[in-house]
Amino acid sequence: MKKTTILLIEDDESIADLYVESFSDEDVTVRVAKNGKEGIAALKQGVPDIILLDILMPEMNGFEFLKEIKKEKEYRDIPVLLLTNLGEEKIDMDSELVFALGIHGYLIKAKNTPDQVLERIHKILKK
Amino acid sequence: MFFMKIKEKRQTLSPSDQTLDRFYRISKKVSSSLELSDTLENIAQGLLEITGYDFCNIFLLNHRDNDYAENWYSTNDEFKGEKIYLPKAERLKRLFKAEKNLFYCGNDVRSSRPKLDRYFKKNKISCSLHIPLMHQHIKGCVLLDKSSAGCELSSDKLSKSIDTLVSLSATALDNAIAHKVILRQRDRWHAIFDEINDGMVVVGDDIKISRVNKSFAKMLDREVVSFELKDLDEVFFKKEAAHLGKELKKIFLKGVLEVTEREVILKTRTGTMQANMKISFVRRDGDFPKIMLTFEDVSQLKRLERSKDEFVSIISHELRSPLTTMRGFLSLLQKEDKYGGLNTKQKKFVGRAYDSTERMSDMVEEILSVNKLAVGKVDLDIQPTDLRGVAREVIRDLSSKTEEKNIRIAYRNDKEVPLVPADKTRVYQIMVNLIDNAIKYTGENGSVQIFFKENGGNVVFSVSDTGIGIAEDELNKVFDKFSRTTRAVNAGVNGSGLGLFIVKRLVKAHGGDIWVESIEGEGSIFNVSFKKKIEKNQERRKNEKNNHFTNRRR
Repeated sequence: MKKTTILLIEDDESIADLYVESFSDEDVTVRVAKNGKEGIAALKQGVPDIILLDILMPEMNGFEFLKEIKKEKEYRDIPVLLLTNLGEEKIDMDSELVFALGIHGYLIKAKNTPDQVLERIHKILKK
Repeated sequence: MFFMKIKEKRQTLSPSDQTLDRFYRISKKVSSSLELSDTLENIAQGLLEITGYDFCNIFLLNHRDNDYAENWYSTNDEFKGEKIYLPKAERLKRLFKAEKNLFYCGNDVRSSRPKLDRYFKKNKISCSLHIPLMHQHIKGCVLLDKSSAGCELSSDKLSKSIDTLVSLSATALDNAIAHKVILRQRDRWHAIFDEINDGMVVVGDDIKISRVNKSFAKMLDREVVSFELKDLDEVFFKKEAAHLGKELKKIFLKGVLEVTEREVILKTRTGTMQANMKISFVRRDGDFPKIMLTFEDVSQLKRLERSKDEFVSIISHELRSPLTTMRGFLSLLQKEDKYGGLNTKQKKFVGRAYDSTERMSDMVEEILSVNKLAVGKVDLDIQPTDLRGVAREVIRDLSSKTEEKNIRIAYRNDKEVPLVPADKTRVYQIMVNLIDNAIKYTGENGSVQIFFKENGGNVVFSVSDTGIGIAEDELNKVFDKFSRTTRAVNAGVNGSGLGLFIVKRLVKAHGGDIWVESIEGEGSIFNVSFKKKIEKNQERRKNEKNNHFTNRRR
C-alpha cells in the first residue's frame, strides 16, 4: 500500500515534532514547513495527500496560504485540515467556515490528541 | 337699612365686647400661618397688644434632655438665639413644674441666671409675667415684661384671654414646627434622590415622567427640568418606549411587578448609553401610585468586562499551544511498546504530570467557553431533540468513569419523552456536565438516577445523586462563575467552578430553567426544564439560520 504523505505547515517546532513523532509508525510520511511560504515551496517538490495547516504563522499565514493554493489548478484539490488553537470547535466538516474556505476540516490542537488528528486524516482521505 | 342697623350696633359695643373682638382678631392671626417665623411674630405681637406690655420673649425647651431653654423669639436683641441653661434657672424650672402663670413685680423681678438678670436690670423691668407654653411636642414659656409703671393686669377676664391665647399659640407653634420638619424631610429626601449615584426616574400612572434626579440628568447630559412631564420616548428609543409603556401600564393596572431588571439603551443629549434598569412599584396609602425606574450606568462596567474577557481569551489561547505539546509528549512517553518501558516511579511521575496537564487543558477550555458565552449570544441550532437519546449517549461516553467508581446509573424509562426543540450539541453539553458532576460527587458504589417528567409545557430532566450534597446557604451560589462549595473543596474533588455556570447559560439560552434541591451529606437533584414548544424569538432564529444555510449551500 502506498504511504500517505502529509505536509504539515506549522511554525511551532514542539508541536510539529509532536505530530511527526506521533505519526511516525503509521504508514505515513510527514514533511514539515515552517510557514505558508515554505509550504508553497514544499508543494513544488511534490503534491502531498493532505495538508495540515496552522493559521497563525510568520511570513505567510494559513489563510494567505489557502488563497494561494486555491489559485493553482494542481494544488486546488489537495485536502486541507486546519489545525489551530484559535477559536472554538463548534465548526466541523459540515460548517459554513469549512465550506467557505474550501477546506476539509478544522481541529483545535489542544482538544485533540495526535491520534484523534490521525483518525480524522484517515476519515478525510477515505472519502 | 340693614347696614345702618349693624353700624349703629357696632358703635354701642361695650368695652369688654371690644376686647373680645380684638381677641378674636389676634387669635385668628396667630393661627393664620404655617411659617414658623411668622407664627412666632404673630404670637408675640398679639400678646403684647392684648396685655399692653413692652417686651416679649419666647423660650422653648430643647426637647432632647430639657437642660436648656432656647430663645426662639425676642423683642430684645440681647436674647436672640440665646440658650439659658436650666438646672439653676429656678424660675423656668418652677414654671414648667407648676404649669401655670407666674407673676413677678417690683423687687421680685430678678433671676439667678445672669443673662436674665442683666436683661431685667438693663430694661428696668418692673413687671414680669411668665406663661407656660405647652402642646404635645412644645414645651416652653413666654416672658412678657414691662418697664412702665402699673403692673396689675386689669381683670380676671384679661388673664383668661391671655391663657387662651397662649394655649392657641402653643398649638399654632406645634403645627408650624411640624410643618418645618416635614419640609426639612422633604428637602432631605430630595437631596438623597438627587445625590444618589444611580439615575432615578419617577413615572406617574399617566406613563409620563414626573421627576428625574440629578444623577439621571447628568447621565444623559441634560437638565433635570427638561424631563418633566415628558413621554418615555424622551429617554428611550421608540420601540423600547412603547414596550416599557405597555409594561408600566400593566403594573399600574394590576398593582404587581413582574419583570424587575434589564439592560436598556438610553438617549443622551449627544448619543446613547447602556444602563441597567430596575423597575420598582411604589404604592402608599393616600398617595398616587408611582413607578420608580433606577438606572445604573454599565457602559464602563461593560468596557472593563470586555477587556477582561479579551485578556482571558488571549491568555487561554496562548496556553493552548504549550499544553498541546506537554500533553502530547507525556502521552507519547506512556507508549511503552514504542519508546521502551519506564520504571515504576517514572511511570507514576509521568502519569501525574499527564493528569495535571489534562486538568489544566480542561480548565482552559472551560474558561474559553465561559468567555464565549459571556461575550455573545449563544448560537443555537434548534431541532426536534430526543432528550433521552442524548442522555443515553452521555451515559455511554461516561461509562469508563462509572465503571471506575462502580456507580450504577439508574434510568426511569416508563414513559414516552416527547421531542423538544433544542440544540442537540448544547443539550449534550448540559447533560454531560450534570451527569459527570453527579458521578464526580458520588462515592464509590453509589448510584445516580436520571429521570424525565412532563410538567405543563415543559419537559424536566433530572439527575439525582447520592453524593456529598450542597449546604443550604450555598445552594443558590452553585450556578455562579468560579463558585465551588465548601464541601466539594473539602472533599478534594477537582473542578473549576465553571461547569454549572456554563450549563445555566445554555439552559437559559433555550428559554428553560435550572434548579437544584439538595440535602447535605445525602445527595443533590439537578433539574433542567426544556420548553415543549418553541418560543417566538427562537423560532425566528432557527428560521434565519436555516435560510442562511440553504442560501449558502445551494
